[in-house]
Amino acid sequence: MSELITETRLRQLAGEWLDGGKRVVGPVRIKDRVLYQPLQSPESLLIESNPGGVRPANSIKEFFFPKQETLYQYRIRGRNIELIEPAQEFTEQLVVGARPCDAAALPILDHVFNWDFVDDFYNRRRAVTTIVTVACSATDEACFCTSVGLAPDDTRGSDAILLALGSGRYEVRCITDKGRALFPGKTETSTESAKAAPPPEAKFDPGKVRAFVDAHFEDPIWAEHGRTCMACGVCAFSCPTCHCFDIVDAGPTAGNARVRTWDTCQFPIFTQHASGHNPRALQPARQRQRILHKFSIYPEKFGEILCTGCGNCVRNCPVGLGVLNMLTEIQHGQHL
Amino acid sequence: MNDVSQFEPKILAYVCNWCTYLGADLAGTTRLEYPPNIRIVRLPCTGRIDFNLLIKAFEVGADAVLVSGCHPGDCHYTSGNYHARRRWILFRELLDLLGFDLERIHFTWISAAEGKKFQQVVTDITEKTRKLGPYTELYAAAPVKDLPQPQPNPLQLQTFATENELRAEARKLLAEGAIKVVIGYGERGPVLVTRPEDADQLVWNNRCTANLAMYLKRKEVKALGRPAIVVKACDERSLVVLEKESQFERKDLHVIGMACEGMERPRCANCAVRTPRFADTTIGQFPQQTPTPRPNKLDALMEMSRGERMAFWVQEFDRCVKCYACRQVCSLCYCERCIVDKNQPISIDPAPGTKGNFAWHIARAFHLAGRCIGCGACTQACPVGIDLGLLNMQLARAAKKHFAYQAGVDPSAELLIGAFSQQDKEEFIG
Amino acid sequence: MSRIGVFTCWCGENIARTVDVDEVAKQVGELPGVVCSLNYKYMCSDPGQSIVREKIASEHLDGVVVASCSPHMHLKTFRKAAQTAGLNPYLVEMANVREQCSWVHHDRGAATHKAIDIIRMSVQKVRNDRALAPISVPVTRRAMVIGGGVAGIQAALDIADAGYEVVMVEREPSIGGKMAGLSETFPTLDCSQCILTPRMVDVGQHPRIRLYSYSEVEAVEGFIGNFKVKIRQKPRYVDISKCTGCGDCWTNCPIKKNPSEFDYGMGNRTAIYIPFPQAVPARPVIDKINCTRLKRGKGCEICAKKCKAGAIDFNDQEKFVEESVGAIVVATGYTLYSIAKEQDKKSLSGYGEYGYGKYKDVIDSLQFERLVSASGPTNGVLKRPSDGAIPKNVVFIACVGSRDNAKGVAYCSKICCMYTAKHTMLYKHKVHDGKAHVFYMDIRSGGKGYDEFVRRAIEQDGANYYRGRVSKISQENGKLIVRGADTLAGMPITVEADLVVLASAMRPAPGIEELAQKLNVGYDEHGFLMESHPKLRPVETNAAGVYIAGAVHAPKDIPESVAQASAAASKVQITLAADHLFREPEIAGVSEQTCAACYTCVRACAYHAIDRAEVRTGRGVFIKHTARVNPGLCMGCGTCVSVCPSKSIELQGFTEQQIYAMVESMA
Repeated sequence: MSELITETRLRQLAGEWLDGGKRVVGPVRIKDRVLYQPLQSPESLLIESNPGGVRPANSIKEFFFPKQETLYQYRIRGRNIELIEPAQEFTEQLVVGARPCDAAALPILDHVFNWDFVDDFYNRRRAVTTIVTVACSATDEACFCTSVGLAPDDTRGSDAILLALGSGRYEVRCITDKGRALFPGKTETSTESAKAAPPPEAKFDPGKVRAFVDAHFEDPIWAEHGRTCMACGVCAFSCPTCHCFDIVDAGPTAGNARVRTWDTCQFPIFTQHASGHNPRALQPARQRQRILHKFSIYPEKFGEILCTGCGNCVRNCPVGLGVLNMLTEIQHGQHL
Repeated sequence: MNDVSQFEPKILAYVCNWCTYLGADLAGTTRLEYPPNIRIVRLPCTGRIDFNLLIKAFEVGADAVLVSGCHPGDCHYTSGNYHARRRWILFRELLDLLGFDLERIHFTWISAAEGKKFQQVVTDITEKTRKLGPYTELYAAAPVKDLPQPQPNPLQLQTFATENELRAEARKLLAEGAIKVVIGYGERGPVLVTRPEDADQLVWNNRCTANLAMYLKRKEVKALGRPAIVVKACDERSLVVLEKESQFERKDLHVIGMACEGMERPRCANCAVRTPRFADTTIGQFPQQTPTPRPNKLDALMEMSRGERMAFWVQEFDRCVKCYACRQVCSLCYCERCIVDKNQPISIDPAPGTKGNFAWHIARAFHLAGRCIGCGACTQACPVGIDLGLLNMQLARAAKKHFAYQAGVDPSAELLIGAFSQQDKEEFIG
Repeated sequence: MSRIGVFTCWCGENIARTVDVDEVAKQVGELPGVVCSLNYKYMCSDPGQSIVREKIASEHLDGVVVASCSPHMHLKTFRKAAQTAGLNPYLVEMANVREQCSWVHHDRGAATHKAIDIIRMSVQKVRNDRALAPISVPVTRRAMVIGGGVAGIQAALDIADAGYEVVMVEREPSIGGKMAGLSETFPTLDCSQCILTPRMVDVGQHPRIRLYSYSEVEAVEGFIGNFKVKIRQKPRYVDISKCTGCGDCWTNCPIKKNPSEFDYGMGNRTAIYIPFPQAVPARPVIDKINCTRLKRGKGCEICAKKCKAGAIDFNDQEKFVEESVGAIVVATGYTLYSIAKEQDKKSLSGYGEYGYGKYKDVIDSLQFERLVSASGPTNGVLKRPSDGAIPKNVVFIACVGSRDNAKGVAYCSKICCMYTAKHTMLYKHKVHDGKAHVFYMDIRSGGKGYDEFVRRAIEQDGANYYRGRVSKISQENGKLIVRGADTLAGMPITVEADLVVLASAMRPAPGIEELAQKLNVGYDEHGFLMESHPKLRPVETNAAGVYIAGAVHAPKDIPESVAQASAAASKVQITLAADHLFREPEIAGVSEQTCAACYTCVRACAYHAIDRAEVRTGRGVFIKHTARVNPGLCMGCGTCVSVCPSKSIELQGFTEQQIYAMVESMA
């Protein structure tokens, strides 16, 4: 026995949340692409039909770890400095239409945001958010979730998962209490059971990759496959698991605030010292860092690979890179 | 200030030390009264006034900005005001596109002898701004119309006939030894081919849209040695500008020009010159053709009201995550330390909020004024689909309209910024 | 920077009357970084400056803001004061709360609020100031004087007598200016040429004065202590090194009927001519427009045939010479307002109703001077231009063009009242039974012995003065009918005149605007050059190293021109006093590590002060290209900063950090 929900009912659910002053996030069509955005109305939610590709071009991390966040403000009076807590809002959020590779990223990120410093901002958002995932009904060549232990219908990190039955109907599988709290009265019982897309073939073995990177800090592969990278932040910023940030002093025009913003190891000044020295002066070193962090350092620290195989980096890269080519080269090249 | 109900505009003025500041002093010595709403920032010359100072004035809450200096011909430093004037002509066009209220931005020439004029100008601006009211429309969100979108044109991958010729040329150059790297197109994206046996990695098909000139600024590429670069006629214009700006010596670069009938992009329908003109090796030949008209997003945007235009850009920039892909893929953004990365002072808010995003995109577009050759790499690279090219297009139009100037077309033409003409028009200057 | 002292001045009542200085001092004391805030009646006075010095020491200040008048007034004063107290003078800023606040607003609340804002900006500026040291540059210890009239002559002689070389550039074939054409000067009625020509000869013979006559300034480069001036020597067609000035050429020239410029058209000269007998240099010049040989390329050549020295050179060309000098005096003098209907400036219109140009016997004052001058075209006999008759009734009209907002210039030309009185006296001394009639608005005779002089003209020499304007001059039966008013008698008055003399307005000599632009000197809408400060710096301009003297500055008479010329000469001597001078260090500098070497700054710099350079290691290994500023040439305008995309170039004293801090303090 399974629970079914129609698209109409799903939109109604979204509408109820919006009317209740809560936030609903889902895939939305913006020109020729699809992005996760807060919905203005339930009609703009795109669930299944994805003319822009198999998944949105961004990730849902920005609803837990925003691209900019005021940490505190300050006011100087005479010789006294007064700190002011920012008026943060932690409105309840509903994410509808996340992919398994988006949802699975959250438990992975939970580690680093609760490690040597407990990030209250992140945790509070996690606490008030319910994630309803939609299992993938199609994959493309950039997908590699199966290579990192996931699948098109993986439920990790999801509060509920929807699987497409066709004709605007979905099987609902609730995973957590939060998920269960969403659907009473909205679903119908059914005998139908849905299947997700066939999982893509594994493209590399993360264990092998880790062994390689640990032993080949200096290797021509980094230059050969990383040289054409143009050092922008597209891969990291559209990645569900990348989480590096910078803290900047936004001056009086921003109300004297200290703000956290996204940062990436791919930016040339990421490791620039005040002296002017930069230990990762050239792009191959930065490309190496990316693979190292995701496939060796993070697993060592937290026991998890910092990647869910979503393929955003591959699809969005202006010069056709992303991590996959490096990983497949390591797997299949003459290196092992 | 006592009457709470009356709005007191906040006016910031950037003035030059030798003319307008002294004119203001003269107004003082002759006791000419004017409203107290103005705050003057003294600079040595109008030449020192960077465009970002105008944006910053609005960011700190100014309801109007005044920029004033010596009359043309009388600049204490000879030509600072001429340089400023040229930049103002272009900058106004950009601000207009973004939906800024040009009625709140005033440019005047006030000399040291014109104390009366200073009084008059300040009084007029204060009263005018009082009537306009506080500048609440700055960065105001509102429902926005859609711009006409070009029809998507997904073509089948089509390899061009000259691909083998290209590979042979690359193979030959690398084998000869003088060229150390060929910057070209590969299957998934750009490739840097360093060995003759890898020449087959090069492709030449209708997906070769990137402007490879972006690699000329990369240290990693420079470290490889003398390069050869594959360019289309459109990309070649980057090379013209880069050479004029001393970024490379022509003799140090081998240019392989590929004649092209069009890529998988709507803009290719508008292409006039299809064969590179200055290459060392030109492969293929297509005659020039007349461009075909197509729905113009820029015209549609300029037909909107000012408030709608601003709302449009508020919505666009709302998605910006400051990934700087636009900057990184631009062949003409070659500064090693970009101004947005400078933090003494932070002149452009690095955070991806409304103010920071407007300031960044204004800076990026304006730093390309008179330089951008319209390859569209920025728009293509943007992961969230912001119509960045419109900003550059507006400035390219302004350059053509006001100075009959097009970037990258004539290698002997003087660069636009850093030069001036006494004939530069100034109807907007009081 | 964290220990700023803010000193708010009352300026007596000038600031304190409108701005609540106590409130200001209190609020400003709360600003971040301010450790000391007080107000005082006269900050620029000795006790005031002492307070600043004392606080610098006792409060260990590392920055000072003086909130008082304009920095153009006293910035140097307070910088010096700080320096004596051991604080780097470039860590001092001024907040202009007088000229730009208390003097222009009346609402006490608003003015106080504004004053606090102004000071807040200055505090931000000084917090980001850096200690700087002046830059030493070598000085070329020579001067240039542009203009060889009485002011230029005085300045040149003073500077040369003090021991410096002077280069004088004079546009006309001879020095002497307008004064050489005057007949007698007020108030002494000295013969003008008699007092001037000895000085002209001194200039011509001075071992340290190099005279370029019949030459103009073509271009000026450089800056104080280091000017390079390109001089264009117009072709005389006479080699003055060979010419002896014997006069055989001009006495034999067949082309005799050219209106003489020196006589303002009242007489004629030959095509090869010397402007007047006492010319310095006493060498002729050929008028290429009227000379037969030069016009046609062949023919005549009588002068060449007569010249025993072989000095005539019909192939003469203009030559360019470059002179290096450390200081320049501009003394280019005046011209008279053109009374005919056509004007060179749209803002002026002529006085067609006076018939100048229409009636031969309506002349201007300089033309009159030539007619009464002993060495003039009529040898001092006052013959009127139309028929040579001696006029029995002469009308003098004052204020033609001056004091007239509608048609002429708004200012008073200062000298006309005096020379009109003089003209009536000269007339009466020559034509004893003649009647002089003066139509005036006011009598301005404020100098030493001036009023007495005018009274002499009226009481002793019987000049008739009518207070009123002339509406029209017409001609009937060979007489000029002058219709005017006598407002003191309260009735219209008509004079039948044989000659009318118009006292027309003084304007700067033609071409002054172009010259001023070459020198970067400011000028007003009339073309008069702007002094640095009307009271305290009347002979300096805002172009350092360029000084002014004489009528180029404003209408003035001979005693004032001479005094101003000596004043300018003394300023020049200060500039040239040593081999080195110190330049202000508020100039640009490149952060070479981040410079992208696009060289936009190199192209934008008006002074060519930025070079393309290379960064190399200590061993000479090339690292990168960069732009580099020459500290000797940069004038500190900052144009380079705004065109630099990466902001790798900074302008000391107006850095990005400072400007943004100032603007952000207004949030």
